[in-house]
Amino acid sequence: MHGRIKVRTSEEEKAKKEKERQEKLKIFKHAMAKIQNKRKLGELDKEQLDVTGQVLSSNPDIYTLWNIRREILIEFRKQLPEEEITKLYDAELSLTEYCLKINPKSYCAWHQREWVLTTRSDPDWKKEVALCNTYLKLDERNFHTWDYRRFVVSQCKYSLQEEFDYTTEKLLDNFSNYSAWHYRSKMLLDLYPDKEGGRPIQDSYYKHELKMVLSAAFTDPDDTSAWFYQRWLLGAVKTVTKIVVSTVTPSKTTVAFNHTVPLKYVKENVQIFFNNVNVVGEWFSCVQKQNDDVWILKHDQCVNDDLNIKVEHCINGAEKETLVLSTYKPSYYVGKNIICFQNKYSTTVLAELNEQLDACRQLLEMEPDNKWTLLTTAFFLYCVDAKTYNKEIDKILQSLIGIDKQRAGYYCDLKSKWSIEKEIHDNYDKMDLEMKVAVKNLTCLPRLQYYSFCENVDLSHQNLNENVLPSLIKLQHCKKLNLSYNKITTLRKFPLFQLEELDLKGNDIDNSDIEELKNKYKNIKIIL
Amino acid sequence: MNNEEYNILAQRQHSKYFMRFLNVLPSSLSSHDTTRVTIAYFSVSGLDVLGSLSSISIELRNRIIDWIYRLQVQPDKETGDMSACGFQGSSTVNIDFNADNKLYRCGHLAMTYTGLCILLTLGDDLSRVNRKAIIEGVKALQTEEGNFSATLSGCESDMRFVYCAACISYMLNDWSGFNIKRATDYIMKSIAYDYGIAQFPELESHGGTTFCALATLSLTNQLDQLTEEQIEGLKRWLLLRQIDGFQGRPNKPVDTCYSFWVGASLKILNSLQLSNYASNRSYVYETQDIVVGGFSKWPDTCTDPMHTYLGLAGLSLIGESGLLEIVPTLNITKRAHDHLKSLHEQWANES
Repeated sequence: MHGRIKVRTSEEEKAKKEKERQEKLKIFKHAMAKIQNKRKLGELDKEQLDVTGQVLSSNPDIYTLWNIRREILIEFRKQLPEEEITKLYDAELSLTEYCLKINPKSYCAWHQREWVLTTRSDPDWKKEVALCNTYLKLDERNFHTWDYRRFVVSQCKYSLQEEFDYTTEKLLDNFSNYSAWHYRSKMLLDLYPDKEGGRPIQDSYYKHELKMVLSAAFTDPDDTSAWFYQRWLLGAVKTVTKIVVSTVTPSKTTVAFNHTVPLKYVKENVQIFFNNVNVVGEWFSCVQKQNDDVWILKHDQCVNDDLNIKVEHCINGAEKETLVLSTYKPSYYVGKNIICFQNKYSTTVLAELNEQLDACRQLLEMEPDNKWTLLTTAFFLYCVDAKTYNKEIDKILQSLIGIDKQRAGYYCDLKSKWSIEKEIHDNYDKMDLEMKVAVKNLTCLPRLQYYSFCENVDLSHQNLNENVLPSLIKLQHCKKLNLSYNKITTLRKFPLFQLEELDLKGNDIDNSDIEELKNKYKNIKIIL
Repeated sequence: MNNEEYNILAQRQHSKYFMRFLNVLPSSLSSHDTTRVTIAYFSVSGLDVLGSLSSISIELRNRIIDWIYRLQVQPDKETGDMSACGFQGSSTVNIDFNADNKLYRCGHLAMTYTGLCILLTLGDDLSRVNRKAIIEGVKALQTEEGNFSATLSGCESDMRFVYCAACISYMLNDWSGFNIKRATDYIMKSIAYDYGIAQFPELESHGGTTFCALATLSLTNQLDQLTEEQIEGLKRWLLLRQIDGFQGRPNKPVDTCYSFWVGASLKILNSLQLSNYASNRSYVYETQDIVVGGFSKWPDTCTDPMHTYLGLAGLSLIGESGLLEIVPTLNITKRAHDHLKSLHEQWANES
């Protein structure tokens, strides 16, 4: 079903077409019946090859007929001399070529070709590469062709370097060739890996790739491809698993991580000690999943005043970090870790980032409204020094909301995320048991696990809607939750946890939803 | 000609359009002869989304149901072997409808998936479905890498069929033929450098396959295997597919069907509301044909059942009035899904 342009036909033409169709139909039915019959009789012969070939020439997508042909060829191979079989394989390849002309995206035809080449004893791989080149000239984005090319290259151990040079050629021809960038990224990893780790490729090639991307970006800043590639080049940095905060109260013991971890990880690498005695218990994810960032330890130990509480974490099974909890109020212990959202880039990478930043700024002078340049600039500023550049970043995101309306929602969320991170960075260690953010216009609630220790949470006067409700479960120790003056319209997704008070003033919620919540939570006080 | 200014859904024309396809396939779609079940699925589910299922008379409904059941491949009569079981796409290959005719009778995952959707949508109770056999048929098609082939007699294996296999297992409420761990591994390995998901590890990311992968993760309850970085990256990649409508890959033209494939992917990640509903809607309506009925991939090209159904599904996802709510993972209406849930309860009580 590929875009066919509408054409008007007269009555006469319609009648002629109808007659043609009837003829075609007769021939088709006759051919199919013959194929069926021969199959039934087990006749694997040349006639069957002819008939199936005829039908496939007009309709290349009948899987079964290709299968029948393979059956016949397998049988023939046992009987016929090498020369004849070679001719048949060649004929098969011709047929697939013919079919691919009709439908270059026919899965069957490509698959049949693959089969012939892996079955015959004398495959001509160079010819296949040439075929790919031809097809890619016709449609450089046909992923079937790119995939087939990868298969051919892997079979004939074509030089990776030659393939790499091929992508350079395609890209110099047309930087928009996303498929070529993609293919190139795979080969880069194989050709020039960075053995010291930390980045995908060796320094010298790294710089070369970045320069290539810059050329692409200056040629056409509107082109998606180069920007995605650039992000990938600069993005790959490993994050270290860290405990963010741990909270122990008589009702609950929780540990929150900077990203989700599986149950196995928590069981093997985290231990909690009360007065130097290991607390034995069972770990549960706060949302009952296999991977989570807030974990609850169910245990039998009594939590009272005067406890010396420690959490030991074997980071990725190696280095150890220890968190000592302090008393925030009687029988309420919290231990916060040192917070760092920044990826630690090496000086070489930082130098590159700054160079790229300069280039972006140059581009912005020429095209101040280009969304790619704006977004990349914001991202680079964030990577280099989010704290120092936060005002500039905010300004860019604000203008993006106006310029790139298609992704206004996305930019609002990004703004919320980076604002919360700044807030946490600035105030986390000073915070007591109340969560109150200075940020306005929050549209989402990222990093909520950082606030898992809070007893009172104030999220009033923001732009939150009901999509954030399920994530509230991360506020495991929250007793009073203020969601007043937001954009919540339904409580359908409100999670179940031990709240005492919930402020829902200034939202447009159905009474029935509120009644239902009151029934689920027996002792909750709801403020309207 | 187009209701550009008013963007009104031409419900009657679309219903008539689907009804026509339920009666006969035009020659322009002859290459889809072997996949007629999928065309029937677009039509039946399409009528359901339009709220016009009643256009199908009881007699036609029963005929369709019987036709689908005739395409069911039963276990081998002599050996009891179930590896070829499933549903076929049409009778092209066994022209006489003799169920004993076992030459080349094997199921095809996409046909089994869409066949079951049709039965559910039409209210059938699946009592004539040989559930155990179908699941054995699914099992026979999973590869070492966790991938799935569509059919036993040999063909390519990729993400589309992982999706079909997951849907079938979900609908029949039986995961014994689907190794979830292996399939999840396969999906995770197919996430590309730009966070989109490809047909196969190492291949280029694509809107359609991203949907197949995400829907599978959702149906198998493995969405939490994605790290925050991967989810953010996926969201970003998907949101950047929106030009006015959606495109399937960067630098490709927009196409109505991606309003579903990309839209549903975003919905599964709870992020569809971050996209621009107005321009999405506006593009889809540009491809609406109010004379012939249906939607096409681009404005001023011929409409076809697939783009019509996916155009409607895409509109339903953004809450278009006059359309029923759909379940983005299975791609059937919530109404049909509720019927499925009641069957599950029934089966649980029976065992």
